[in-house]
Amino acid sequence: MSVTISELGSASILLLFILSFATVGMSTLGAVYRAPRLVEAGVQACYASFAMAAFAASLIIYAFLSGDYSIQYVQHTSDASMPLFYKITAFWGGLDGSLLFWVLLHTLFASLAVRANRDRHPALIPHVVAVLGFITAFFTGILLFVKDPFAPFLLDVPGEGRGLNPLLQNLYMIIHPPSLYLGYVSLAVPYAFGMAALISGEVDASWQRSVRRWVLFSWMFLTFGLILGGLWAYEELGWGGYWAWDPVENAGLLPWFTATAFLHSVMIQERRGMMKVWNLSLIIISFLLTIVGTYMTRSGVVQSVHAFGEDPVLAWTFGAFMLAIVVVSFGLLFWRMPRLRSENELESVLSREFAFLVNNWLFVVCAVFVLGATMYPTIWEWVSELLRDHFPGAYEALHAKAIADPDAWGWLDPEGRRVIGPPFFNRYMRPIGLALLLLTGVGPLVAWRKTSEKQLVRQFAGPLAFGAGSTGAAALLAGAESVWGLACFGLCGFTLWTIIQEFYRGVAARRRNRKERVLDALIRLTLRARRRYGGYIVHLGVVLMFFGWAGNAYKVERKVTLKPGQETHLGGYQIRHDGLRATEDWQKEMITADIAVVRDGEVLEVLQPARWWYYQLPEQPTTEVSRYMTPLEDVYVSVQTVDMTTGWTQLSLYINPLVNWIWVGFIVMLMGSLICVGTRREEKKPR
Amino acid sequence: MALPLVSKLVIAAVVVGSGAYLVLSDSGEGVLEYVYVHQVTENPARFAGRTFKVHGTVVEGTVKQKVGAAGDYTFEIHHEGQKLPIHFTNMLVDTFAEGGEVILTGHLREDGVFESEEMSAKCPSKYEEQAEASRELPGAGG
Repeated sequence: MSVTISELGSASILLLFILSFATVGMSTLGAVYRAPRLVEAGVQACYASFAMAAFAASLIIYAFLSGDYSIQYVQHTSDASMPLFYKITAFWGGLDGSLLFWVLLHTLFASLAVRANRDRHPALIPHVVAVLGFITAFFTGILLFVKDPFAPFLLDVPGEGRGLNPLLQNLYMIIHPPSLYLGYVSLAVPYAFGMAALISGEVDASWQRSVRRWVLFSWMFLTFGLILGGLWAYEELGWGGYWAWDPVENAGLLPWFTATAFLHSVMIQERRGMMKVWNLSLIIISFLLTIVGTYMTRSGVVQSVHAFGEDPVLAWTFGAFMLAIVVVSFGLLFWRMPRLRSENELESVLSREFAFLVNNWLFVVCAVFVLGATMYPTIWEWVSELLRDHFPGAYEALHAKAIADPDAWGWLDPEGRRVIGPPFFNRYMRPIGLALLLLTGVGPLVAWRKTSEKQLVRQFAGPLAFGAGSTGAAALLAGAESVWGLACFGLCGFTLWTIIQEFYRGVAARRRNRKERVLDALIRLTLRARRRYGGYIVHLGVVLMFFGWAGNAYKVERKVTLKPGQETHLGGYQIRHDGLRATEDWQKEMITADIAVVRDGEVLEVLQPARWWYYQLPEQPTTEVSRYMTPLEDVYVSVQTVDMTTGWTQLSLYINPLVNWIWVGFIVMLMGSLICVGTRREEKKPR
Repeated sequence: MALPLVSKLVIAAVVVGSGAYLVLSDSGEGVLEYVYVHQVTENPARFAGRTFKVHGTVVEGTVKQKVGAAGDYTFEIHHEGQKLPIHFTNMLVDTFAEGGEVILTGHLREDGVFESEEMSAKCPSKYEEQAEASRELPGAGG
């Protein structure tokens, strides 16, 4: 009797489920009865879980490669015409497979973390293994009972696959989701260590040193994933922007906010023994937000362009899991509160502790605000449903008031559903973002404990002058109409100077003492204190990104309809329609417009924006953007609609000043974080 | 030595003050109401002078294009037995179809016509899950 891939796959998931419970059971018993052999068995079961998950993952990949369309998931997300590369990546292209991918990464990280730390923190290990095993059990349970990626067609096995959505068939979409996933999933490790510290009562700072690099690693991948998502939106979707506060984008941003906060506040704990409860809370919340994010995007609870559709069973399962995390984690934290007393108090507003504290408040406000605004329409639906079903009197009264006086009561109308758009998010996030940029500069300028007046002048004079100069220069060059834009340029200048000042002083000190050449001194300085100077390089990337965002205040946007031969103006450019071409290949039909970008009579470039109709999904044409790129600005053209009989072409035209600095800033950030991650163990511990 | 009381008060004032300023000066920009056709036709006065989104199905045979103009259309959308006339001044999106669902952003004119230049269209066959989801929304069932 032969066994199908589907049967083998389902069996492997069942085994993984059993294994994860065995992991939890053996580790817990091992810790309770102090039985080293049980603890060791738990660790081995943790490694075995990874092996089993890897086996299941290779089965599904094999099913994709061999075109096994008897498996529903394979049939839904691939077809025979897809290139090999996309067949493999279709693994995480849909809901069921992406959950299996989650489990694969999670078990991998669990094994790596346990292996790296078992000798360093033997007392914590059984608890860490148990917590990680429990998380594996939850996600495997979902695979087993709700979303089985190996579920076969019981009747009428189709001979052909449906194919992957063409929008997802590009390089960004192959890297972007796994990158976000790496960030998401790896945040479970710090959480498990935090929980283990609370359970075992070993709440000294030693576990945090191990965890800090994990958080940095997660943070790096989250950042990478978020930026790639933005770049994908910018190059593929054709609306001239990179961030639209879509629920799925926001879901990735939420743990990023709290992880960033943690990376800063953990330094206060190391230096001053403060904020222990806060740091543990941040780790718990960051992990919780990865689950919230997975829940938001995978259960369809929030409608979004790329959420995976509605599923009430999944929604309730996740809801119960999140509730359990909140109750257990914060319960433990509360129980251990007496051991987590602060060793010092805040002494001055002009101290680095205070700058970090405000930075933390702002990041948490960001997370709460974005979560609230993203969930608001959903929460409002729940509330109005509750009112309608259980308090019909109140429901009618509110509705009547809303109709009678819409200006005062309209926003409380239970029949009104609201959509929250980008202007709302921008309005609140813009000032918070600028405040954070200011702190990026201020943090390194102020001393630990408190800053004397003399230090203040020495530290702030240069940055303030350069910031003011930048504002003035921006006003002269770009115009003074946007207060936000000018403030952003000014703060970029301020912060940039603080970073230059730090490097300059460090290099000057080395040269005085050691007579090194400038470049040698710079490199040695950075490598001697990687966390500090790597951090400054990350900040430099942040400044460049804000510089790019500031350009957004000067964006030019036009929607025009042109026939071949006609032209229009856009900022300082002429945009000329040179004609339409219809072509086709084995996958799709394409209509390409030749759009000349002209300045002072000279053709700078002929752009070729297009619309593509895939044979497999003709109802959903894709937009192919074309850009004329310079360091100062992008001329960005996308075709919205084409009437081939008359030649009328509707174009969206944009000038996006400074936009490419965002991607440059990101690369700098990435380099900075790589320098930080590479911290050598022998690096001097902070006093 | 802990932070002096004056500092604490100043910090509290700055936090509360800036938060209150942001919230109180909010004009509601970016928050759009999202309704179905019948909600508009039953209470047109409620929507006077505001921008909102309206969801309905394009009535077959009502789409007309103004001759000689690119992107100037009139049509009707319906929901729950109510109809709403639309004046749309932009090019139609590719997924637009008679009998298909559309979501339009715009405002209600005094003569009862909905004036819009922003549209997103759903294609029921390919968005089964989303179409189901929107049917479950409160208000959609009446």
